[in-house]
Amino acid sequence: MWRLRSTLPWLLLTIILLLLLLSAVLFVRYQWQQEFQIKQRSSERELQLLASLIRNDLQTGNYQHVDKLIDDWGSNNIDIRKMQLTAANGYQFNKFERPASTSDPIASTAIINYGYRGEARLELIKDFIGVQVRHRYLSWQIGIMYTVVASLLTALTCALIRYQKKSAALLRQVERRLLAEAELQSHNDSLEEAVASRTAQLASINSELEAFSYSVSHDLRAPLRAIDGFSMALLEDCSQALDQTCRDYLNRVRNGAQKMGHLIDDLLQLSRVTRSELQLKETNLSLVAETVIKELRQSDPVRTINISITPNLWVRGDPTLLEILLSNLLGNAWKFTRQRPDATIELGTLIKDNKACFFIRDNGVGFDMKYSAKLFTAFQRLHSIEQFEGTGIGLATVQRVIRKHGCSIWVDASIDAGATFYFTLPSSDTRQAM
Amino acid sequence: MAKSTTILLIEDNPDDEALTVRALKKNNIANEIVVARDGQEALDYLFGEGPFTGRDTTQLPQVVLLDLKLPKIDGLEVLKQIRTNPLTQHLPVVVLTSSNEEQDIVTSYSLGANSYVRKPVDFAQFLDAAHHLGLYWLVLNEVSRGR
Repeated sequence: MWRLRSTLPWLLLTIILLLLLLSAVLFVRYQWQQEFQIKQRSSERELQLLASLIRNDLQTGNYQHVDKLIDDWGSNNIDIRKMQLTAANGYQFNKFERPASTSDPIASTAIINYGYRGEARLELIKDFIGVQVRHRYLSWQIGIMYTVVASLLTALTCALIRYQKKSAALLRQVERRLLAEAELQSHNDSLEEAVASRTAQLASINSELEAFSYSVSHDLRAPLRAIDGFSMALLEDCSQALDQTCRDYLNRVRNGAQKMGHLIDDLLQLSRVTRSELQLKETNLSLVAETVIKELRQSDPVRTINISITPNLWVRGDPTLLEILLSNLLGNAWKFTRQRPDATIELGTLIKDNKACFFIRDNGVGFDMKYSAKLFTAFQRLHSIEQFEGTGIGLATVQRVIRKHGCSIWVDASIDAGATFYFTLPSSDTRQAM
Repeated sequence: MAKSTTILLIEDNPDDEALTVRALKKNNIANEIVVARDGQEALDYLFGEGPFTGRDTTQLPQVVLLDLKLPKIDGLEVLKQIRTNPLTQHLPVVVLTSSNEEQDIVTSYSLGANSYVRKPVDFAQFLDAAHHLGLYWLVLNEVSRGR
């Protein structure tokens, strides 16, 4: 189909050129025939005129004049090749002759009757040189015209074909693009549908999770409260009836219940961090840290700890989550420096691995770095409960807070040389973080 | 508002009820404690309907201790109805619940709760909370008995 479409213009052009050539040839031939007939007629008339002149001379017997006439006429008319008058009795009058020309001659003959039974035959052979020259000239003209028209037509066809090819290519391109766009649109539509359905699924999972943690928050704590509360009631109201061992058992029951309470609280905090929506605000991290330290001091007033907080550390983060972050990290630092008489906790910034980051450093018991991979996993503890209390959920929560901000946290520590937690946070837009 | 020394405790968990009553007593709060086991019962008591038809509804409790998770009508709905009824709209309501969900705290306050106390697992803390409740809502309203 496409081959036919591409060859069709050339076929048409060839036909048109052939037709033009044919008509040009026919035109030239027609012209030639016209001129030939005109020439033939004029030659006929010339012969008649000559014949009447010669007849007059022959009737009067002026034969010399006849010879002279033939000579003069022949030399004055350059297209006469041969002129010959022969009497019936065979007498040959004067004869005029020119060297042979290449063209076809026109021969005509007239019979002249004169006097009593006198008869002569006049033969005139005329050259066709003028007509031939004109004809050749016309042929050249037509030929040149034909060549010009043919080249123009060819050029035009070429241009047309090129234009058509170009526009066809353009058209194909446009078609392809439209097709691609339509495809993209449908793809987008299906993608949007998929996103919408996923979002709906997520929302339903989220609300299920919400309901789950709500009931955990309520229902799991109620029995614990009963265990702890009634144990305490026993200790207080029936202390006389209980010996030291029984009181110790009851205290253990209470401790267990309280530990489980903390565990539930920490798990709820972890899940809340995960499902809460990030609300970014310009936040002064230093102020948050100071608030956390103040709370720690209130809950543990006997400790003397050197606290160094670089002021005005502005970040763009979720204030609630940042407080959870710092209360876990600073709480850990507080806890693990317990045995140090010169406990120091530091919050500041530095450039590490070409990144501006925050750090919280303590000079506490530290840990072996070969366990560092376990550190941010929930329920992983590097110290025994007897040494340091805790649920093993704090650093998992810390990592979730940092990841929710799209940032990272890493740690550097060694046994008995303290630990340093490095973390990045989105930098503040309006204020210099450093 | 008529003076009354009653405390209305809306609580479905008998353990929590016993512990709360004990905690109040331990803090020398000797007010009469009326217990409603679900939201419907609490509203019937307050508005003198159902089994409490004929109760003098002008005798409002001194304070309402409201658990959020209740059968039939939940605590937040009870709070909403207390605040929309002209009879009880100024009644002090303390939300006393296990939930530490921020959403519950925000909703409670926006519905007009006067205070929000989380029931801690550690019962000493609960006593402390009850102690503060006693001081604030009973002493400050000058109807405390037995202190």
